[in-house]
Amino acid sequence: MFTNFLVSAYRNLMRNRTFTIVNILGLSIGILSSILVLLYVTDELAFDKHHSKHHRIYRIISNFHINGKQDLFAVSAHSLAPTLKQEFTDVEEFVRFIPTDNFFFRYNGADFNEEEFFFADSSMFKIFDHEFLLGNPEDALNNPYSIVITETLAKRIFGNTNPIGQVLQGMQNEPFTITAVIKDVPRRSHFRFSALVSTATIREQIGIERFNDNTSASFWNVNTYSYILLRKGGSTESILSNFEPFNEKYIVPVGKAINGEFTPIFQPLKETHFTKIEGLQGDFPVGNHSYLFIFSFVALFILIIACINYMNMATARSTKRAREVGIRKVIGATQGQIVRQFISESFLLSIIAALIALASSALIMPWFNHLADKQILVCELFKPSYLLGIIFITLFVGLVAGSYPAFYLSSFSPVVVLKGIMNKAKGKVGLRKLLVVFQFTISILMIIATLVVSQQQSYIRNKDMGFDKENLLIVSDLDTIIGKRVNSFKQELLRNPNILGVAGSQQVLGISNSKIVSRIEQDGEMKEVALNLIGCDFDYLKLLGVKIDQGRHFDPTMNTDSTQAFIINETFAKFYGWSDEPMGKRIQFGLRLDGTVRNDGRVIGVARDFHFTSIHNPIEPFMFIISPREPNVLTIKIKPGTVNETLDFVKKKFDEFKATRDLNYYFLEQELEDLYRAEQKLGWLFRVFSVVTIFISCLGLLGLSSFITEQRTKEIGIRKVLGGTSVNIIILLTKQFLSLVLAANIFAWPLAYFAMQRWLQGFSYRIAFAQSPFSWQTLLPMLFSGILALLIAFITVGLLSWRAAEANPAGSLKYE
Amino acid sequence: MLSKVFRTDEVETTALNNVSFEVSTAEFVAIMGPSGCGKSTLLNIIGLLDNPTSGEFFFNGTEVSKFKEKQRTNLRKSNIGFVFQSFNLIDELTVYENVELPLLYQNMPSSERKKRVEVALERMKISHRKKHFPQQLSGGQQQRVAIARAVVGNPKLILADEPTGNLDSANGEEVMGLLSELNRDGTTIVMVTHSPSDAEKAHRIIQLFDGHIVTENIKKLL
Repeated sequence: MFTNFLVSAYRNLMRNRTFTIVNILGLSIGILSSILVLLYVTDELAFDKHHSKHHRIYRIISNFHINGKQDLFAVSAHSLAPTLKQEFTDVEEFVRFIPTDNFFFRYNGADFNEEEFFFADSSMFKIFDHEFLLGNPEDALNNPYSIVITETLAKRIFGNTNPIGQVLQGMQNEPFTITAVIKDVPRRSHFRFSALVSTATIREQIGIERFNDNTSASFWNVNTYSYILLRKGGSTESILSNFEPFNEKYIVPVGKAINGEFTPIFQPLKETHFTKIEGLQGDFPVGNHSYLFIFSFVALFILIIACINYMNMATARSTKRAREVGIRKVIGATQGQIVRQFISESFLLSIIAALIALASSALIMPWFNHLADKQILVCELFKPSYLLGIIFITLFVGLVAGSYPAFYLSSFSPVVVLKGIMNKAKGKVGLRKLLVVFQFTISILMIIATLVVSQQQSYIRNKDMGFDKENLLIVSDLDTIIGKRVNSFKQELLRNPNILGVAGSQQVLGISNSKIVSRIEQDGEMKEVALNLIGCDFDYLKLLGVKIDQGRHFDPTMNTDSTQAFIINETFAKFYGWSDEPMGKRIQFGLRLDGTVRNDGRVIGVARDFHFTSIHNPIEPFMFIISPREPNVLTIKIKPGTVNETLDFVKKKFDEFKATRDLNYYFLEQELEDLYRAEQKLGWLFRVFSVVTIFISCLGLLGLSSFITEQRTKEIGIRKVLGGTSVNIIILLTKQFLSLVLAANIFAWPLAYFAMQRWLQGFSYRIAFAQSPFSWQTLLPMLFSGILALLIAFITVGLLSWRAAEANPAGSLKYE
Repeated sequence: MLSKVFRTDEVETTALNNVSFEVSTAEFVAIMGPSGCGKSTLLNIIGLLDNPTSGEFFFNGTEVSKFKEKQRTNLRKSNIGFVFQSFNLIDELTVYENVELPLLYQNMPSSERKKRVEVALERMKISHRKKHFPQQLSGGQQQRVAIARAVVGNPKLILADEPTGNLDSANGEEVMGLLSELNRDGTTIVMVTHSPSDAEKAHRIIQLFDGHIVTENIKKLL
């Protein structure tokens, strides 16, 4: 029986090639979208699960409250993890990673300046699983100046030489010995490194007492990524519920002095990549679970649209199959057998579509990886878990797409169909129209979403950050490379006429800043706060074009400006209630433990607000202060059009200063662009998905209109004979579909409004869409999308209708 | 006394009005009448494709007028074969597959099916075209396939709805000859026809008019 179904299904599909091709194309695109989203989602969810103890590993997040203001850091105090292990039996082990920024070393006459080097405790491999190619996990990081490197790095430095025992010369000629080589850190790790240096090195350099310092002050200096491994049966709830004595002993002594509180947050390892914690500073790049929902929904929509196409076309063409259904029922088929027959057809189509989708996904994998920022291998598609997922999708599609037509067709009465009473499936036309409306609702929704995402992207990219970011070359880490000669280097650079200005700072505005506990004047008292600030030289603010609205810039001729002058931003003034009279307000900067301060001075100027970090974040209170040290960073303003030659000049000048390593530089604009990569990626993906949904919807329209046009051939012939023009015919054939597309707008617009309003609420600065339902900023993208959809639908259906309208009526009326 | 009334929102049509008659085993009955008199409706009820609005219908001694669709299907598939004016073969299936189809719906084992299909094709002298599709056959050949399909399950009753309506006289004669032969072998046949010459082959002719039986002529004694 099943063979008969398949044979019948296959021959039916071959007889109706247009129908078959349109359906296979639509279904394969739908299944392909689902496969890609499945890959993306499983990849995101699989992060860090390769560690066998992952369910017992937690990262410590620092949760500070200073004067009521919360700050969250992905790093914690160096002393925290070991002290937790000491005080809580729930903690079996801990490990700390300290970032090194760039790690310089020399080997065999060649200089290396590497990123992704971290200091790590020797307990590292007791907690995290890494495959050792050479060396022993038990003692690889026990000794000072030990380094564990990854396979790729080993090949790059040592080629085919065995790295074990080889010595790398550090910046101060320290001998770092390679003790082990491990396989590259798996891609699905929230934390990736190319080498680990033993923390015993730091202990050796600063002394054991300082290294193990766990006095109260040490808990307020955060710079270490800390992880704990719970013992079996242990819980973080137990630690937190018994945290008060620990808090009293270690945290409160200093916390009281600065009106600060600290609690640890224990983040499960599996959540470190996937879960975005709002306001968390210093985190590694994270995935975004809201994107997972968005992509999953979009893939589901595309799949449903493809299934709807099938349903619509199958039911529209039901009169062609009605006779067959009638005959089979007369001969003895039950309704159930008819249903199974038609479901077999849809399964056959679905399987063919799935095979095409699978082949296509392998072909487009490089492009997908680029778009989604992934490195998924084609062979992963053939893992049992993925194959199962693909089989499930195929079955789902076959069942969903085929069930409605199957039940609809199987309900035909043999008496009615064999008598030929059944001419058109009129009764179900309403449902078909509803399905077309549904398809186009989704398509229009996708177009609006694409427009809004693109607009928001553009807004963010072009938003005035409050300072001039164009043609700014940043060179950093200077104090470690050329020591106390940075100002001399600056003067040399200024000799070049293509260099319009050079200014020094300790950090880079827009990328990084410090937060220092200080005191500010409030209600006649001095109160502790943690302040965002940049230490800079006298030229910095002017070079960046930061506007001073009240007061003045830093002035090198004013002696007090070096130590007693502060420039704050508008938000600072507002936040601390200084808006009326900020000038002259007192600030005591850099609170020490003994109660003294580094600088005690007054506000000399209020700068117009600017974005000192990503535009995703709201502007916070910010402060500039003249730094007494040689700058760590130089910001160089280059004359437009001279970038390459000026960059060469800068490098050459740098070499003259006999730096211990290569120049570390980047262009600020490019760096800022990278902050918004997530939106760029999303924008692209929406564009792609938009095009796909429209395409599939149009495929459906094409199939449906093709069939209906064919059905009305006789009517068209008669109309032409009676004097109808081609235009009349085209309008006749297209208007039924265009009215459906028009109706789809009624549903799409409110859905788009609420969905995009929700998405935009995640931005501190956003476009005006969905702030009012009747504003032109809201209506314009919706109108545009509706018109675009109408146009596309008109072209799709219109071409077919035009062909039918141009046909010779004699041909269609001949057989009457 | 069978009645069948069709109702729509606006119109009520009485297709059969208190029709009552019997058909005996191995009888050949022809039903005649003008278009719209209720012939096909009567045939559909006899063939268990439809239920009467009122009255009783005994099939092989069992009252079946209240049967649900599944019950009618089960009874029909093992007892009744159909031959239609427009042949009603399935275009996507070969001759062999068309004839095999009723046996598939009866869940007959493969070897038994093969035997029966070969016998039926042989009997209708159409074995040589068993791999062809209906579109490749002439009208007469298609009707022979339809008859083969009707008899492959050894039904007790064959219902023929204007079996020669789409055939020329030669083919029509051939088809009527086959039906008569089946009847002689013991198969009961009820045939709807417009053709008096076809009706002549029957033992009895029932004339229908506006849903009533108006005459009943017994042509031959069984």
